Amino acid sequence: MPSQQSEPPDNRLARLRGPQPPQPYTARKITALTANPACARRAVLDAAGVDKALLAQRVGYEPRFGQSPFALAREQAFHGLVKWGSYAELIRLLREQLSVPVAEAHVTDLNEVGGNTALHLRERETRRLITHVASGQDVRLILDRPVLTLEVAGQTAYLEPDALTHRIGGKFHVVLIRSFAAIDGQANPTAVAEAAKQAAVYVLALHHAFETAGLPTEQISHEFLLVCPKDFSNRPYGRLIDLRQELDALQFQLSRLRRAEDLAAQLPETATLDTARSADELSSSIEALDASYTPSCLSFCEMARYCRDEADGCASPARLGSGVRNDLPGIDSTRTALDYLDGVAAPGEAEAEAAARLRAAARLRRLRQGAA
Amino acid sequence: MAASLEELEQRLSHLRTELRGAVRARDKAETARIRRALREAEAAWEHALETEAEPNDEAFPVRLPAPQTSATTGAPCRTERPTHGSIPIREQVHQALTLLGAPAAPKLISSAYEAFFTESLVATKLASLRRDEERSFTAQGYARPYYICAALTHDRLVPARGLLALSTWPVERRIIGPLSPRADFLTHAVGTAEQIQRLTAAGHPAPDAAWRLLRRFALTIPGAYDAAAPEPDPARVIAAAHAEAAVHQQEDDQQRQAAAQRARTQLADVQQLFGAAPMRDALRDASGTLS
Repeated sequence: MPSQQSEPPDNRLARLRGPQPPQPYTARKITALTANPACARRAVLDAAGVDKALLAQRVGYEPRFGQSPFALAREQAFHGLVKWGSYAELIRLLREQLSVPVAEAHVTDLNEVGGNTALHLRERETRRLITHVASGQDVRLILDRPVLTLEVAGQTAYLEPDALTHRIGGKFHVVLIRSFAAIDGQANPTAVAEAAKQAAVYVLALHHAFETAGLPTEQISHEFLLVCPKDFSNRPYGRLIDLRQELDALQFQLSRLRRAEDLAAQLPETATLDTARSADELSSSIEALDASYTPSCLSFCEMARYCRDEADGCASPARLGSGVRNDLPGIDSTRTALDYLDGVAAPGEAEAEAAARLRAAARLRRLRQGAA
Repeated sequence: MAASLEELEQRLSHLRTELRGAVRARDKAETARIRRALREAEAAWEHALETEAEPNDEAFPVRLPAPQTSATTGAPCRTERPTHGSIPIREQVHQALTLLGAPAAPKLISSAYEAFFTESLVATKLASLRRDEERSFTAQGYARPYYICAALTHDRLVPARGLLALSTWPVERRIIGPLSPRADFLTHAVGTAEQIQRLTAAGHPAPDAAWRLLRRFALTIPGAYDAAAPEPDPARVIAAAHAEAAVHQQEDDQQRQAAAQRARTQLADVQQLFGAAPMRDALRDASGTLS
């Protein structure tokens, strides 16, 4: 198939996916990818827009994973509440907690442009508005659901933050609306960290938009506004959260992400990720992609259980967590590690240090057992 | 005021037409309902005529519970609830919008209606209303005294997302500029507070749902809410909403007028009510954004 090989690699990804419609890149996916940048499997699956939940199901791993419909409904209800009455609660929050002047109440709904909801139209309108606002020709307090783009692993991702606000200290802030409660000003730290990672993706995308428009990026804040329900009520509560650490981490990891196209190009020509194909074909294609399983994958990846069984099979140290993996540098299997301890095999030069430490640990453990 | 008198007159003639139809169809229940509505509307019209000179009379056309009305008819609106469910949905929306006084989202329309009329108005039923109304208008324009129509965005004059308005309002009132959502929100707050005041003055305490709605408004308008008081004070809400509206008014009015001017010159009648055609291709977008 010489003609297909000369096609741009974008089509290679599309061919892998098959006739199914592609799933969009979301901030959630990008944070998952940056949480485990070494995972080629996830990088290619996301870049090709494959429905991972369906894929996992096809290869026999029903994902016990995904967002609960109740949580989604709650999230939507809270969104509706914050945006009720022309963003009345959000405006109140900005005024009371971030001292926005009363005269500022300009809003633009970017959920659609001229009755059209196409992403590229909304993206262009967002860019136009941001340019006008940043250069001082226009004023907006709130941009509702703007659309930004970000280059991830060689793919353009369209991102929709909940809102952007311009008027906190003259800087652009990303606003995230989440439905976990902040009780006495304290919210679930895991949930906040997750939100911060996603906000960092949006802020990076905003930086990207400013750079393409030739605007000074100093106008973008390195903080984001997190809106969540206050205490046990439904009243929105907001806090600015610093993002510098997340931004640095994200930037570093995005730069490390290998281009998904290059990864896909290494696959055999017969590989397919089309969910309509047989499970055997799918399994062999998935196996051809390197995964890097860690137990934390279980909390954000649909394919995690598949990868876990695979890691079990080859006794990968990472199966036991990143601590064990880091203690066994260069040793790719716990079986090998046990062999070194039992003296069945001799460690090579690269593994000598790790093997020595293992032996020391084993001696200490024996001593302790003897004492007890 | 003239506008509301006109509205009432339109409504009277509309009701008479309906009555004729109902009598012909020998629908007794419907005839009785329309007759009652007609009597109420007549009373309201009389009242509006009397108080024409008085300010603050954005009279609520149908069930105006002013003291005179309830005294003369002897049957306050509250007792006339056996007509449950028989009011057409466009009628319900019309009543809610007249009360709110500015273009509003279906959710707000339904909560306002349910708050004051203790009848249900399912917001999801409003989804197709605008399209039905447009079809009716295109088939025989201006045959009805009013239409439920769209609010228009100030830049492209297309229908604003998820907002319903009344065709009897001037175009300016239906334009949505950057400041208009907030200005309209303040108008809604004033409308709600005034209706509560009107009901209280007429000796009918407003339903709890109405107070809840007012409280929601009051909490989000600076200076409208007194944390110590158990219930918000309508007069205070009105004053606070007016104070904030005054801040936005000049800029908002300018944008509305400019856009309305454009709408009148560029759009056909049906488009002035229901908005220009939605944007399709990218080329039109490029030319439209720069205007």
